[in-house]
Amino acid sequence: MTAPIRTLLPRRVFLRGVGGAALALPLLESLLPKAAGAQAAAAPKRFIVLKSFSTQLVKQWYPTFTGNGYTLKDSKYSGSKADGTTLLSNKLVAGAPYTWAPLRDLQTDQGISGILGPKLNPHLDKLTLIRGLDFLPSVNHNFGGLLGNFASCTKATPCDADGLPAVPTIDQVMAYSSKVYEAAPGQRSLHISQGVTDAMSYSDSGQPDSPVEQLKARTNPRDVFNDLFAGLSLPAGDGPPMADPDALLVDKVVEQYRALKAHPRLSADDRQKVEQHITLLAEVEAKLSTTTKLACTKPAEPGSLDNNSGTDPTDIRQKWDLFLDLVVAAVACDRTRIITIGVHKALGPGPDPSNSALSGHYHSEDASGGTWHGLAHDWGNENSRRMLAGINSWIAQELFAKLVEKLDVPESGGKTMLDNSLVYWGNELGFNHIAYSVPCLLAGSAGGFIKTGRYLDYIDWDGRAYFSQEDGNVIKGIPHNRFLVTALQAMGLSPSDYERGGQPGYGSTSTSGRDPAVWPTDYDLASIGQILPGIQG
Amino acid sequence: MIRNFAYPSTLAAALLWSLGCTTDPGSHGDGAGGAGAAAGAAAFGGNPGGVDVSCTQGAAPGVSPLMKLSTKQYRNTVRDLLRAVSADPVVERVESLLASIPDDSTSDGFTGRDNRTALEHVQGYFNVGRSVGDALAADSVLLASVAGECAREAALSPACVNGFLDRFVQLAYRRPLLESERAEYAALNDGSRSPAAAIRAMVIVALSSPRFVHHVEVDGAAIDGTTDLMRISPYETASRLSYLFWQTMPDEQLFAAAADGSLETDAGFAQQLERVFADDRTRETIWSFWNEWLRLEKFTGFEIGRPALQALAAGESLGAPGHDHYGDMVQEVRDLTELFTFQRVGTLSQLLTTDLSVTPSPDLAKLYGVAPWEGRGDYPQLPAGTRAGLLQRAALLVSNLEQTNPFHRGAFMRRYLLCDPLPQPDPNSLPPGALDPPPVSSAQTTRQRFQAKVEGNPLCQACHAGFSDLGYVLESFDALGRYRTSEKVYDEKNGQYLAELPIDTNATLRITGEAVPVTSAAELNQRVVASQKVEACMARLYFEFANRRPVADDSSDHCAVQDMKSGLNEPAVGISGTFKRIARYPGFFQRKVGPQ
Repeated sequence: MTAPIRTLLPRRVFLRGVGGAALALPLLESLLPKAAGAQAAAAPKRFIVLKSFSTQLVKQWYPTFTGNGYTLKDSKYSGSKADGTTLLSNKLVAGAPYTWAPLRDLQTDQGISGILGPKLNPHLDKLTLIRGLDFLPSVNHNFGGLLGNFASCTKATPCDADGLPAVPTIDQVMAYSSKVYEAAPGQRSLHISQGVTDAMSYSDSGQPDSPVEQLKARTNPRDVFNDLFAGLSLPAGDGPPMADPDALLVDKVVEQYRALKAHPRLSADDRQKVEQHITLLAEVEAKLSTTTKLACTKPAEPGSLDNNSGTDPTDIRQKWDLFLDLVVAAVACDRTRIITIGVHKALGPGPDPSNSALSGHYHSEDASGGTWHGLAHDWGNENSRRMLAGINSWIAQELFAKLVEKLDVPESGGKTMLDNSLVYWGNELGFNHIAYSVPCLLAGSAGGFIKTGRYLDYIDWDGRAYFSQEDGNVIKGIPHNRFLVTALQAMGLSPSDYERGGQPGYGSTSTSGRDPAVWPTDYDLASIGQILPGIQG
Repeated sequence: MIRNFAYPSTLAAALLWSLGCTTDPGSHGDGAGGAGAAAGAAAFGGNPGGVDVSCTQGAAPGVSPLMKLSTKQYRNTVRDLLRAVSADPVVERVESLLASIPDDSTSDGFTGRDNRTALEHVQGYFNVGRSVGDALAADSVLLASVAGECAREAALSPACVNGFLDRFVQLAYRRPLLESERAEYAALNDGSRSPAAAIRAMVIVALSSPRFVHHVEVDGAAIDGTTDLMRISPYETASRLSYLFWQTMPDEQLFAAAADGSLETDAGFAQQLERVFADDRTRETIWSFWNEWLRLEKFTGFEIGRPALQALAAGESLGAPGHDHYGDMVQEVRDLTELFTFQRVGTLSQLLTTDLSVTPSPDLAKLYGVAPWEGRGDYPQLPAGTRAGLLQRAALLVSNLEQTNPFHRGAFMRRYLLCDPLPQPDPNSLPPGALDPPPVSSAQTTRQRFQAKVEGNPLCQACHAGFSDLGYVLESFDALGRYRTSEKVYDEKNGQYLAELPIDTNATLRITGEAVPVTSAAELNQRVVASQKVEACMARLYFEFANRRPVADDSSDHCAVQDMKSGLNEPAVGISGTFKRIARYPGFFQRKVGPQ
């Protein structure tokens, strides 16, 4: 006897997926969208993350503009604080050291900084550049830090933060929130990468008591296409959407897993694995129940391009072009609202300064000389810095700017898809493997939540300069946790949707492993649950 | 040389602590001999990776968690199941779907230990099931092949359903079905579906079943009345054996041996073990072990666009069309390990000291200064005094660019070949510039440049004293793995020749804790072999590779590891015998259930 799947699924998932009121409905019906492709009311918000890797040239990330009344920090500060970047003087909020400037003020023909080049210029009014976001936990190379799971250092580079409790990354909090998906989506989240199959995202599948596991990234454009669009048809006729009858077969499978879960020869950990599998089966069934009609332009199916660890520029560029098109199609067709893109591969200059041809670069745990990771270990070498800046400039111009441009097309309500999105370019670390002032560039306003077109500097430049290294300062900024809160609230979530264990905000605030004599650790935790000050204007 | 060190001096002790080389071993360890553990230089001579922890005879094995089929196993199993039911044409149809199942990653060490299940797995399993089901339902010949001629009749009889279950689902479950399970499937033949649709539905369910996509081991007999330790069933034994060596489902003979009980006899099991081990699929699995252990796929390629690398490689065809130097190097490692595993009864000691050159590649042979092996007859011998054994083959020595990195080479040997815990440097705790490679100089050898960076600085030496010397001795080999007695220096921007400097391979090693001076790479290899730490390392890692779990404390696991370690150099056992021993220790036939 097969029980209806709604009685088999974890209650919390069901509630989070479709809302409590839907419980009285038959499962399949309750999981269907209100109407195929319907975006009749407000357009949905999307959260799109693009992550670059290794250490960053912080001074190249941020403006060094002078003129029109702007001077460099060198005009006011000495020592390491005189770092050659633009001094901002507009106070962002009263009573705090934070400053800001309109991005248009800092625009040059070469863009707004060494890395943020001219292809971003047309979009400056919709960008937000942030300096001074500090990871409080002590991390090294990591997967999920920029999205709130700091206990995610790579196995090759363990860190103090690994001892912290693993929490879902914020994209997964969003993916399982009914504030983001009022009905079961085509796909809760999409994770893309080149070269590395481990995603930056960690998930508890929407069950707070379940293990948090790292997700997998898609590395083949055809897999992305199939995840998003396989089996979907364009609208035809006026009949109601029909659920795929194979969804009923999932019930059979779930029943088998439920029986296995009850087996006395399973451990508690085994049972959690089984429960997680059941949750994923529910996702499969939900997708079957919504694969009916597609009210958008279905993209062409790309060819299969296998994953590899090579650095062939043609392969890298071809895949990114396909991935970006699929991301935009996913947004336009509302197949998913949560997307992460791990930029483990990019193009950039080669070692010969006189050769302008772009080379492929792959960021892996291999830090051998000549690799992207190796360049980031080679700060003392001007040629390596040139190459590293070039790689990140390519990401800014050819990935971020292109994505922004493709998204900046009108949809319902007089806004563009970009306007309704929060596109976040974050980085694995800050400068020289140190996670202070981790670079952050945003595009879109999440439907007006963020006041865009500004450069916000949260570093307390009048405070103590703890020390400097090569390309950056350790001066207290603002906890990155407040960016996490900003993103969560921008996507429509309330603190009750994401706060855990009675703690305000999101993500660990532990500074374990950091000596307060060396590192800033005395952050204002009383406001840790609030959004970034002044970000709404 | 440390530059711009700006930390308050009072923090030196804290930094030393945080570097991890002078503190409690294993505080971050994952037990995998990987990068996670912290240990001091003094600890390098001690217990290598936990191998010599005393074994507790008669104890239970470590806990076997519920594992999914590895992605490699899943793909193989789908293909072999379809072939077993004469549905070969469907294999090609589902290949692209099989490819969409996420690959396992090495984040937990060996790929087989990656037990994460994502939506892409579960969706992928279902998609494969649908595709197989569709293919069978759409082709009456295939349908009849899988379910019998009776499946072409107007209605599917109970007997026909049972025939299908015995033929297809039983193979998918890797054991006979229980009556209750038959009833579940029979319920899909409720009259609402055509015979083809009913078979299709059963295929879809079976191929997403936990019995298919997981290693479910719950059918055995409890041992001594316990609730958490059981002797696995004959069918589970058959599966363990086939997945251990073949990475796929049991074949007909293994199923038969499980069915007739012979697999539970010593003689019957030994016969099957020998048969399974002799199969070519075992070679593939054993190669996967060497390949992952030696991290051969981590090399991201020669940066052939670098002018200085081009200068170094002048005359070598590096990067030229039709020439795959690294591919040849990896193939050499495979050929060499297989020579001592499958073609002759070799010991690990022999493999680690052999001077045979097995490569047929003219490119690689040229790097070694030998003639290519012609595919038959005696193997050429490497030039005397140049390199020794497996561990000094080019695949384990090459760099991406024109310069060698003695720190990387030394750390690789410590961490992966000797299984000594060695932490990665924590950049948060290092002085500025600490991770910068020293700039190229026409006045200093690579060794001199690297040595100057860390020597005299206790902060660095806390860790470097344990491994840098290994890399200094390996300066006998250039970035392409060629033997050398002098080092040519090139300008990295334009490849201009700058200097040729004599190399120094004198060093004091601490492979077992004792400081021992050596003068050459050949002598380094002798010391490594004499330490028997590679044997200990390999035994433990193979246990983890084969069982897809770590060696557990207070278990019989350590007994198996010690047994394998000693077997590697016993002439009557050797490498091949040791690989088989993993299936002969008592824990192989037992499943320990974790805390409930």
